[in-house]
Amino acid sequence: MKKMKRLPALFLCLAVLMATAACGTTTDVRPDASENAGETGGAAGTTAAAGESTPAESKGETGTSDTINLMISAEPVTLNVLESQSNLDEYVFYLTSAMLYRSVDTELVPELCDTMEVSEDGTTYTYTLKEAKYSDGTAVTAADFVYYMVKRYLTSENCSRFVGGADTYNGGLETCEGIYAEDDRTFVVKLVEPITTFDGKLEIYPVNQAYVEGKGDSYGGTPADLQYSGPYILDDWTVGTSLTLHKNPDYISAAELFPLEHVNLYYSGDASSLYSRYAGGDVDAVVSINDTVVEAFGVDNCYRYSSGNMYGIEFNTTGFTYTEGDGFVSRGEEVTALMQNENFRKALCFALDREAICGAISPSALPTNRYVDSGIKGTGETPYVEEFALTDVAPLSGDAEAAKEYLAKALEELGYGDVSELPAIRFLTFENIQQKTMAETFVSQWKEILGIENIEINLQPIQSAIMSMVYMDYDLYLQQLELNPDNMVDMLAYWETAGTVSDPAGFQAGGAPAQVASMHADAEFDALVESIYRNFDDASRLADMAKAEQMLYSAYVYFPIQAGGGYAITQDYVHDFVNPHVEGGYGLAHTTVDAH
Amino acid sequence: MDTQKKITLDFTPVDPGLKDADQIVRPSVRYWPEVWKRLFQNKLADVCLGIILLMILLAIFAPMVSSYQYDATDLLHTNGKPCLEHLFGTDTTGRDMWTRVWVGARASLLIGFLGALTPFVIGAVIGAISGWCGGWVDMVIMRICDIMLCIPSMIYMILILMVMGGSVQAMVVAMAISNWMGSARNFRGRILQFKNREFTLAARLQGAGGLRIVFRHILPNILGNIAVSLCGSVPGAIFMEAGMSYIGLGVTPPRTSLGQLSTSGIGSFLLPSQFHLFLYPAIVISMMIFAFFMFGNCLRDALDPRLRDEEYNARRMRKLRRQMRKAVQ
Amino acid sequence: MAKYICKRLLISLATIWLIATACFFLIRLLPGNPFLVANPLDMTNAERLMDYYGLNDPLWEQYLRFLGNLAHLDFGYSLAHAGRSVNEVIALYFPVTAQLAIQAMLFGIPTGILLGILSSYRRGSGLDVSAQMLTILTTAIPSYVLAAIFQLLFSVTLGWFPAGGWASMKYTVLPTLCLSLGLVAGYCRSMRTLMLEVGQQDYLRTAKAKGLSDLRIIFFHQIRNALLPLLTNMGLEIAGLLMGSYVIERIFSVPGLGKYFVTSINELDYTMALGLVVFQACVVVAANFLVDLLYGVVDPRVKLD
Repeated sequence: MKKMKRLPALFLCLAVLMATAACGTTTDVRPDASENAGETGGAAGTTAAAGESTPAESKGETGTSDTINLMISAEPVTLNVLESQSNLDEYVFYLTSAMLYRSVDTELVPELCDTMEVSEDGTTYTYTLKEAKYSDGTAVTAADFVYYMVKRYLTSENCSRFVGGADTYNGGLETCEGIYAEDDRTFVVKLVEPITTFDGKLEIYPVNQAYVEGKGDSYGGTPADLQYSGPYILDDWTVGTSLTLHKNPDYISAAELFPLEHVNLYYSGDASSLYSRYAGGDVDAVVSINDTVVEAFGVDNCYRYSSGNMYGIEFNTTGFTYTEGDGFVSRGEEVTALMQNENFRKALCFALDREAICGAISPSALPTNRYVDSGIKGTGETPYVEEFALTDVAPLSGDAEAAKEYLAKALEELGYGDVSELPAIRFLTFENIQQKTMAETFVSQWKEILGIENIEINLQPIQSAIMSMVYMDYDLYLQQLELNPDNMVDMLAYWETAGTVSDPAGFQAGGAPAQVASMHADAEFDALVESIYRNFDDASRLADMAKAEQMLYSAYVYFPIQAGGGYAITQDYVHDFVNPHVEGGYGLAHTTVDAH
Repeated sequence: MDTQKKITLDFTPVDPGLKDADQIVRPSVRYWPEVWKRLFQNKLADVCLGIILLMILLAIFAPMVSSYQYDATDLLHTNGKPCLEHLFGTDTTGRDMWTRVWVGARASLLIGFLGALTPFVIGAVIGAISGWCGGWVDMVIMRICDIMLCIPSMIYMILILMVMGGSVQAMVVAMAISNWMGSARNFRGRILQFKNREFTLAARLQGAGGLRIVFRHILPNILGNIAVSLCGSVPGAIFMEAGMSYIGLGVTPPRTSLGQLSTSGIGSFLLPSQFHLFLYPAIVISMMIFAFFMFGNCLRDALDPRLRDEEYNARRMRKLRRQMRKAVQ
Repeated sequence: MAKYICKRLLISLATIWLIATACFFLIRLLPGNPFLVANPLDMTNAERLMDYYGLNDPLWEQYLRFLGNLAHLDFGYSLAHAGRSVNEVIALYFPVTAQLAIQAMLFGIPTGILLGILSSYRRGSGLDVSAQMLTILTTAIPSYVLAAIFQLLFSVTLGWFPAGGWASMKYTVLPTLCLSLGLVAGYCRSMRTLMLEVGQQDYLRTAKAKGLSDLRIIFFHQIRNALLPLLTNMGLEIAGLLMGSYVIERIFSVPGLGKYFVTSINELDYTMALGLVVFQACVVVAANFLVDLLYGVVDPRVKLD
């Protein structure tokens, strides 16, 4: 972390300042490339990694352009694939790194994987690899996949599924007995027992350990501190502004996939400039248009895709808050009794008209009563959510009468005469415009329908909000969770007694006092979810899943609000742009751009 | 020809009646009444004062008499255009913008006034101590000032808003902590300017203490200056709140402020159906800042005794010229 | 002179050290954990990272380490963006902020001063009134609103300049304009007032009595004396501009330090935020120092000691 070699940087920038003052041009900004990009398709000609110059071609012979200029509304956080915690980074890894299996147009196809063999007992997966190399000439070996998988793929959630994983995991580990390279081209993964969520089609990247260790802390800091094995090579990343990529000639499927030579990603965090730059013709497509401005683009011109996350209201039923100094502190008897009262929770849930709320605030989202992605297949043709409907659910459009009844029951049970006597309730949310508006609307609806006036919104920036959430410093929390369509069971496992949602900081495992319960402590539910992992019979597994969902729903500890979505738009000369399977909503595997 | 005429106008023969140079020719008027008179004679100042008063009245009473709650959503009437029922329309969740704008104006005005006054008072006390005591006290206080000026105010802002919650009080405290330095420097400079003047010396000789001299003798001399800079920092504070809202800090919902409203409206700027969400808060905040700003300017003009001389002289000059022209004819 | 400069340098170093110290402790008071960003989160991972970056050590140990690194100008690596070194960020993006700031100053200050002179010379004329109007408008309209209007007007409707990004001179026009309008307004207003104030001084009457031409008086007597007080504020102004503007940088997607700094505090990126604070403190201190020196040169009455 501490390195003396950065010493000259300060002097350098002072010198650069002088230079800038003198000539009025910047040094690090890429050359005047995209100035004409809109019409000519000329892209950044700088090559940082490959050391080979790419001529800025204008148009292909067939009347197509070889460049796409995309507008993104959220920027990647880091290029360090091992430390990345953000799925925004995945878009860049998807474009710059080869994968064992790659998702192309909603399907997982083998990329570096030549063959995959599964042992008879279903626990040992043996992969042989194709021959490939990084852009700097190093060969991709099985050890590179092992390194990535051990360092990054294993989490505290899934490590126990692999042989030797649970013993050594400590937020990242050095080696794992069950994940190893037999030789340079053979990669083996051993499970403790076969589980339904692991089908061997791993979307993992090769990462060369020697390279990473050679780079030390600077690994993934700039485009030059990265090895490229994927479709594109990153030329430049001007933070807050743009990423420019050009095609990697060494990419293993270069001939079949990713026809575009140049990909330029432009970033803007400001909703109105997003529109200005699209309407001004600077960019060919916009990914993830903010719900508040989608109307400017025209909803009909946009593609809607599912963003793979969901919002819901979580109730703190534990009655405790953890503090650094005093350990577990009671949140107060009154408010604890209130939160633990099922009728009260139901009253809050039934009062919300989720259809109207989504329609008004987030048109891209779909109101939902489920904990899984609505696109998941059932046993037959019908989607899972239709085949296995939940019963006794709150209507999506709300039910004010029922809500009032539940509230009356709750008040009676707790011995209150009137809602005005209720204790103050803290509602924790993130500081961003969408969550803020959502929280305001909920509170207003509760006030209007139930007459509850003492719900206080506690708005926090993301890091502090998550800290408050982990320490259970809330009564109500607007929780956003990722929905993984490939893996519905993990989603349910969050609510096991020691799951990440029920027990966010691992208090149960870390020896919490006996009176501090988990948010959702239900041994029957835990057993059911664990059995789903081992049930390979599709029909009964899905039925069990629905049963677990129903149990979770009926407990009213996490009330689903909406399944998130997003909008993307392309100019009409862009084809095959949207790939809903890649979470950003864009997949460039077959995208072409006509001359324009 | 032209220059000649100009010179003749610039350099006119002295009026025989003015030969007694020491005679007090101007009617004796006390300072403050004269200032008020001049201030209210200025039409622009009247208009600005009118706008400010109107805004204050609306901010107090408009939400009271409105039939809508500022935080009550109405999902059946979202994005309503301005009409008689909703003068400023409704927002994306159906809240009445008229009520919201004036509730927001309450917060903005409070933050504007208190956010200008509190740091000013704190700065004045510290600056007075620093200027009056001099020596190492002055040195230490001024170095602290320099250092605090360099620490980005965002750090305190976030800290205070975290501890106190995003309320108007928290914003005011945050502003007090991050803005007192300017006023302390200004005040110190003024004190130093007057510290060695004869009237201060006279007061000291008569046995007046430091506090008494600062408050009784020096303060009246710089009151005008204070009023002007206070007037100038009100829009500054309102702007600061708007800026903090843009960053995502500021008063927490469901409470709102003009800064919050106009930043969330900026997203609707492009949409014809939601343009009113941007337009009205932006107009109100701009008007408010304009009024305070121009009023401050007028006040400065009114307070400046030199301008009073200038006016008096100009009036006399015009009179003289008229007489001269008559004489020439 | 040399003695003065030495003394000032020592004071500056002490100031920077105090700022660094104050910020180091203040920023640690902010609640939250820089590694808790993922949802659902992995507490074990966050703990591992806290250990790795030494954030679980006693605070004074961390402080000493920070000072040690500061002594050889190593600000370390960002916590939120793995692999990004703070020095590199400054080296890459400070020039961007500086370019914008310098362009804005080169355009804004002379324009403002010129407008101020003209409007004081032709007091009450159409020019004066429109200059006043411009001043009022740019002061009263929040900058994010102004920036959005510019984008809509110059990019979407007229198509003259790109609405955002950072590649060539063309991209700098709108942000520079937005930044400099405030300067134009401020300098126009101050210059006008100062010109009028100076206009009442006796030495101007003397000059007039000597029979100097109007233009000569304005150029060699009035403007020169009016400019002097403007210099005092320029130091802080330059420093403020060099820190970058979050709003403008964000709206126009300019990779400047201002936006970087706000983001780093929001992300609780301790090393990045501290590095930028210390760097900006250096800029402010240096700017004030330069202006003081310059003041001594321009105004012979001021003695440096």
